[in-house]
Amino acid sequence: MFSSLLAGGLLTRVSFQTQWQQSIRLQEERSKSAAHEIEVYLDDLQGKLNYLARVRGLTKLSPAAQERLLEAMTRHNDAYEIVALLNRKGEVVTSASPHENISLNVSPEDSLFLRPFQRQEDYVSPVEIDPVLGVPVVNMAVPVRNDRELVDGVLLARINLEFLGFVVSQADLGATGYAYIIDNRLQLIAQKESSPETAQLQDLSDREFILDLTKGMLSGSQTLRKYRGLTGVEVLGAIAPVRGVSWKVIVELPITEVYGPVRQALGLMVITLVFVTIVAGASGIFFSHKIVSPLQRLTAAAIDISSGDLDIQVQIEDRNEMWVLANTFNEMTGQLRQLIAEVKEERNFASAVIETAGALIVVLDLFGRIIRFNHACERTTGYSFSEVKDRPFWEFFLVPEETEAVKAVFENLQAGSFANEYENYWLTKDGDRRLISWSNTSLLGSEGLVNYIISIGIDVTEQKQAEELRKAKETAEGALRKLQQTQAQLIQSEKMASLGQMIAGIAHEINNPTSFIYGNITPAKEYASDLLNLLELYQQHYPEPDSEIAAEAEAIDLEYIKEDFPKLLYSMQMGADRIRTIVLSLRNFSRLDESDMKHANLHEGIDNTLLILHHKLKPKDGKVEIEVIKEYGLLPKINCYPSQLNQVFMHIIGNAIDALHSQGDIKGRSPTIMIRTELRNKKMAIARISDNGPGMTTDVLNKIFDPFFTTKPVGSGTGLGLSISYQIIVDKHGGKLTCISSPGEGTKFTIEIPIAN
Amino acid sequence: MWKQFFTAKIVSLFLISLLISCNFSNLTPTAEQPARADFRVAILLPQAVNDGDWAQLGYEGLQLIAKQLGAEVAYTDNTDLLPQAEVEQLFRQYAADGFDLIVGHGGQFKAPIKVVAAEFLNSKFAVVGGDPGNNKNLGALGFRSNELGYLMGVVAALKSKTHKVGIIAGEPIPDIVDLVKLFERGAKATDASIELSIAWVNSWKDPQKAKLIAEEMIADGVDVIATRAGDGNFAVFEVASSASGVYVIGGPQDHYDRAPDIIITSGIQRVPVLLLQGAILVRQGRWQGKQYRFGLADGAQELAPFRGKLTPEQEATLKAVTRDIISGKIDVSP
Repeated sequence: MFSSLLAGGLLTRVSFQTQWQQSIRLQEERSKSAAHEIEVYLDDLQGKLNYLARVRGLTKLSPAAQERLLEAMTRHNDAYEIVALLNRKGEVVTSASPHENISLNVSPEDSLFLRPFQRQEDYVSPVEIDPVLGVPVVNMAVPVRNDRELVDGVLLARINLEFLGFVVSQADLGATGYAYIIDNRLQLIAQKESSPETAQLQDLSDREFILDLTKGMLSGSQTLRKYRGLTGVEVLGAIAPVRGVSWKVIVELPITEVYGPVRQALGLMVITLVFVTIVAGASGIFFSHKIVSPLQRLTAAAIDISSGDLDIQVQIEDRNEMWVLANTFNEMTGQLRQLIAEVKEERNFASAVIETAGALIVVLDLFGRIIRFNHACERTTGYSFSEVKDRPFWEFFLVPEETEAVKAVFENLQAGSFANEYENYWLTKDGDRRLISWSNTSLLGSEGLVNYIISIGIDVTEQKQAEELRKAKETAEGALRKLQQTQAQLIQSEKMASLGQMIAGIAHEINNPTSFIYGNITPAKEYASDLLNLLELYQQHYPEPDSEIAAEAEAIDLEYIKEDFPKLLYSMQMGADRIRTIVLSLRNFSRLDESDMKHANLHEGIDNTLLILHHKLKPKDGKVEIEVIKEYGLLPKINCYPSQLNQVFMHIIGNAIDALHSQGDIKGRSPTIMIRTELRNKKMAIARISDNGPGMTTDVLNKIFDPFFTTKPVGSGTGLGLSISYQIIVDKHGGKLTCISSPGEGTKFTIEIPIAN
Repeated sequence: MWKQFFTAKIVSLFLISLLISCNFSNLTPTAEQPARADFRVAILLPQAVNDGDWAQLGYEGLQLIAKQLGAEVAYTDNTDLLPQAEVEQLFRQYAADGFDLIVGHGGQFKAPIKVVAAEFLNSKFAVVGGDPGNNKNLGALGFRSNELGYLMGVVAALKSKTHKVGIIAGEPIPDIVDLVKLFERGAKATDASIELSIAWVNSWKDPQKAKLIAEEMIADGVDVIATRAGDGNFAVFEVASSASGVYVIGGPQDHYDRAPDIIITSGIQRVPVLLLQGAILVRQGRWQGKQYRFGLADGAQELAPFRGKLTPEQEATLKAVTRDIISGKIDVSP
């Protein structure tokens, strides 16, 4: 309300100032306008005088011509009461007047003559009331010139100023405004609605406002705007000079009229303000009632809620913003209630979970004091929660040797300063030791510091004991298994050693006689060739042999012998070659002389093995031929026990052959053993040996590396081959031996041996 | 709801104020027509443009014309140092250059300007001072120096205790002669027993002589000196300042700042107003080859404020005298 009053007041003031400025300008314009109108009048009158004054040699014209010129002036404008031409002595030479009874007497000492003639300047006399005409008149005199443009006389005119009254009457000056004219003596020479008969020149030189107005006008800064005017009432006045004469037009507008529009606006403003004030006041009371009392109710309700009464409801009847607020408030309290109920439920639920949990749950504060202690804890330790509540837990539960360390941890407690998972012994009330496996969680406060520690523990005392038992059992089993393995290994190695020795012996024994055969075959061939050549010679020289020779030749089928003997020798050579090769392979296989680790080529080992097993690959006794496909990659020599690796290849390839033979002929699939080698990551030499035999069940597969496990008929296998192979690859060479197999899908063994070994 | 209410109120107030302002907005006066830029005015100044005296007033008048009428202006100063023929040539140059109004700032220009004005009838010529003009294109802008001289005489007589007053004038040009003449009349009208010393420096640029005259006057017991001696004014101020109980009346501008202690007042003649009036007439095409005169009634001249150097009674007397001069009650005809 105050602001509206302020704004209203301000607006009123601004509009008043605007109105005032507008009025001032208006008055100035009016005064200028009136002055201008008078100037136009006077200019016309003075113009004629000036016109004649500019006439060269006016004084030298003939009196008749002069008279006509002057007469024209009086005809031109009624205001010229008399026009006269004076000579250098001030005597009237010529004159003209519409009035016959008017004559002009000018003294040579009169300013009317002296000023124009001596001072050679235009002269305007003070305004006076013409004694004859009884009207305000002014005399104007200008110097006139002779032929040489020199001042030679005076042209004088008496001008009736009645027109001034008309001009100021006609001026648009507002309803109550008026204008008047003062002359240089500050006499009132014309005024609105003043009749010529009553016109008296009123001396205004004693009026302060006139003096101030004229002074203001002269200095160009009109400061006097509001004063008591000519008629004595407060006016807004403006003054304007009339050029050419020292007259001034003053225009005055009574303040009452100036203020009219302002008053009107003010009235409107006041009415508006009063209206606004009343409305605002009423609205204030109304709204204070509408707002304050609901607000009080809301405040009271809020206080109730803060003191715990959540069932409070605020009732607002009116459907307004307060009603919305109250509804929101009520909704809020409802939600609060619900929220608190939910929180309670959640808390009860959590408590129930904690209490009924089988695990031990202890909550400690940052000083290690027990805050919560669930039933499981009570059961395990024999202490009740009330006994241990708010006491440091180490006072009850820790074994003496741990107490100091744990206390130290709590004295400088930080997140992560204690183990999250650990096991330790807790003492029960009875003095038993229970092994508890703990899992700790710290609850951090807002600044990242530990507020609480939640420890969840499981009593693993029994579990631990069971585990120890199991471990002991496992150890015993492992020892047993080791024993068995060692035993099998011993048997196998003994077996292999004796086999090796045997093979070596056989090889040696075979080698010597074979050498004889092999060494003699070549000379035998030469001899045979020589003999056959000789025989040929005999037949040429003696085409007709005696009958006995012919008969014998017939009997022994000499032609056939001649033909077959070289072939026979060739076959013998081939057989001897093969014997040599077999002997070499046997020797290689046994490697009795190479039982140490050495760089060897895996491919050589595989090839030797295949050579030994060659006989088993051939179709024999109704058994199909087995195809061997070799895909050797680039393998470097590796540091290994070659004879042992040969054993491995022997076992695996031998098993594959046995498996392929066992399944018989299957159409569409020729029995094949695929041997692939490759180098992996330049670190591992890998050999994959696969067959497309019957495969194995999972049960069998799980046991193939077990010693003494065999699927072969009794007496056919020892059940040690793969077991030993596993040991050779894994234990001796640090590699891996794996097998993939399933029934009908064949079997694939993978041997991995590190190169860098 | 409150917001709506306030908004409505503000809007209504705004509308009311709009109504009020609309009522009068059509009365705003139209802007004055800018003066044509092709009006050119030149002036010849007798002394230096910054002489702090008569010539400077002429220059200020020229600047006023430039400002008020948007005229292009030109001036030549210190022409008193030139021979008559050269001054004539200067006028001729400005006229030949097509200047619309050419002013000779002082009575000393009457002869040369008359010669040149007759040669260039398309230009208007004005001489500052008293002259009947050539009835064609040369007119004269003059002060009613007699009015001012009378007032100065009254002031001097009122102020003097020794009943001895003096006036020191420059060259006896008509205006100054009138001024001196009416000074005497004003002084005597105020104090019939007054003793008057009238001295002519016969130069506007002879401070030394003005000084001697002033010293002589003061030695004779003169205690109020009116001065209109151009550069000599400042010498008079100096002498008077060093004497005791001696006061000075300055002019034609307000000389108060030159010697605040001793200057009673100055007979101010508003040369810029005078020149502007002349230029306006030329601009209107109404300039006539005659004498124009401006005086107290036109605001073209007045006495500077007395600033406590006169008693209130004396000031009232002067006010009444001024009024009577304007109204013609006191005859100040020279």
